[in-house]
Amino acid sequence: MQAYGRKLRAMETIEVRHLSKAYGHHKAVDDLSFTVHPGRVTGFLGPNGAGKSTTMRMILGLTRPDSGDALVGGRRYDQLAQPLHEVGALLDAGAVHPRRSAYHHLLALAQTNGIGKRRVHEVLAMVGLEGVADRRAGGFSLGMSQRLGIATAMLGDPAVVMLDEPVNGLDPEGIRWVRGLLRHLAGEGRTVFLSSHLMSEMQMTADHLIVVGRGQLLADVAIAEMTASGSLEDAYFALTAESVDYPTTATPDRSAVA
Amino acid sequence: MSTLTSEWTKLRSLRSTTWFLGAAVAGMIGSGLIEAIAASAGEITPAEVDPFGGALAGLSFAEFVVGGFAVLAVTNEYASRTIRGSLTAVPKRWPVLAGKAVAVGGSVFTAALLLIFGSFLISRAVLDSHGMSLPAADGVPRAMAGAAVYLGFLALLGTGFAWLVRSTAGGLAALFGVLYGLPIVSLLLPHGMGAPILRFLPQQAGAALMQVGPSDLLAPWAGAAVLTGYAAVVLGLAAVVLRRRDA
Ligand SMILES: Nc1ncnc2c1ncn2[C@@H]1O[C@H](COP(=O)(O)OP(=O)(O)O)[C@@H](O)[C@H]1O
Ligand SMILES: [Mg+2]
Repeated sequence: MQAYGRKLRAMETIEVRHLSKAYGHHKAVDDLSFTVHPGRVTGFLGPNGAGKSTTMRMILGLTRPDSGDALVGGRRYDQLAQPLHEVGALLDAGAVHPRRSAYHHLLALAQTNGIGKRRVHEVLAMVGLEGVADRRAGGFSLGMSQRLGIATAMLGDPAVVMLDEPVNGLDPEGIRWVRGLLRHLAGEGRTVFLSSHLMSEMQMTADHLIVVGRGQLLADVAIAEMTASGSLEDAYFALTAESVDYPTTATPDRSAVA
Repeated sequence: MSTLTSEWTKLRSLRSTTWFLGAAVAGMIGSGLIEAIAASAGEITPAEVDPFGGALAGLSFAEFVVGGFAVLAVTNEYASRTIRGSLTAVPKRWPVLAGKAVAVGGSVFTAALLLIFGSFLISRAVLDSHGMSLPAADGVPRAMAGAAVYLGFLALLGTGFAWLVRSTAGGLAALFGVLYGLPIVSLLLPHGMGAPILRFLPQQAGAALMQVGPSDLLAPWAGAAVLTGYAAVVLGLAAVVLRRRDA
């Protein structure tokens, strides 16, 4: 795997402290606390609607918490002068102007943080998009959009990488590439935090898990610990059984038919 | 400064910017030449040509082009959801608003200045070649520069309203409601209460910058001060709202 360019790295944690956010009467995030450490891939796992995306938006200062706070490397995100150098985030790969080229999309973001054109070309090459850099991003496939999103996250060569459902809709080859990249970034000592509602994906990518349901912390454990007494899937369902929004009755009862 | 560079990159990397510029060139130069051509063809007498040689004839058309350009420069970020990326890169937020205002307002002012003076010079040359001259009036260059300032101001106001309402239709409605709706409302007020107010409305304050000869309007410098005030209030409010609201 190629080098990603980061030489001197500060170890930075993500600290979430008593974070809460309600939409109307609905508590999207409910007194959530956890810490994400450098040098490993931390998975943020929970059913749809558990509050993962809302938590990530609060970490990035996009959504204002009702109470609590989130710190990156000990500081609130909006106190970072050039945040792209510290945190690289991918929230929504489709968030590009459809008629702007991939190159100009990246360049406009790079310029706000004093990042030069050379780095823009570097990240395009890193994700394999240099050949289509001048094409309109609106014509990109889902896989290409995800790669552009990851290029965006890597612009500032950040110590913290945070991705919301990065493999959603990717083909197996794309999933494999993202997995390899994240493992590599964590191996370089970066803090890697990714959300997913797919435990199978987490099992292959993450070292540590933060499991949430209905906005609350359900578990903060090493993958190895969670799988010690059986499959991750069983452990996950046991944890989240109470937290899914639309629970189904377990499995059809066959004895009744027989 | 770095957000200004970034906002300029955003503008120049969209084909729609070229279309807006093309529409402005066609509209301003096209309508700017009608008077000169009519006079050269003997359809109107040289005395009927205005002191600008028709260079400001396309102003209403330009208002709509500028309004659309300015509002879209902001609302396309909401429509494409790039706003979250923009605010993640600049979490203080107000520099994004300021950078966009300067990039949009500055490019509109520059383009308008070139088009108005260009249209004036072409018009004068056409009349010249037919042995005619423009009617003389005081303050013609100031009035033409004033028209460019007014269009730049509209651009600022358009971005401000667009930040507040976050939708293209809403932004255009707010901008043109203020420009064209408020004068009508002021005239509907009882007992002529609206008349003294009228001079202080944005479009009339803009007209004050462009006046040659006597009128009921404010003095040009007072018109400029009023426009500056409107822009400051709307952009200031937009910055506060942008800061407070979840993105
Ligand atoms: N902007 C919003 N307005 C209203 N409700 C929201 C908003 N964002 C999220 N929610 C609600 O908050 C809950 C958590 O959503 P989200 O953070 O997207 O969960 P996840 O990413 O884990 O699927 C959901 O019930 C969702 O409907
Ligand atoms: Mg989500």
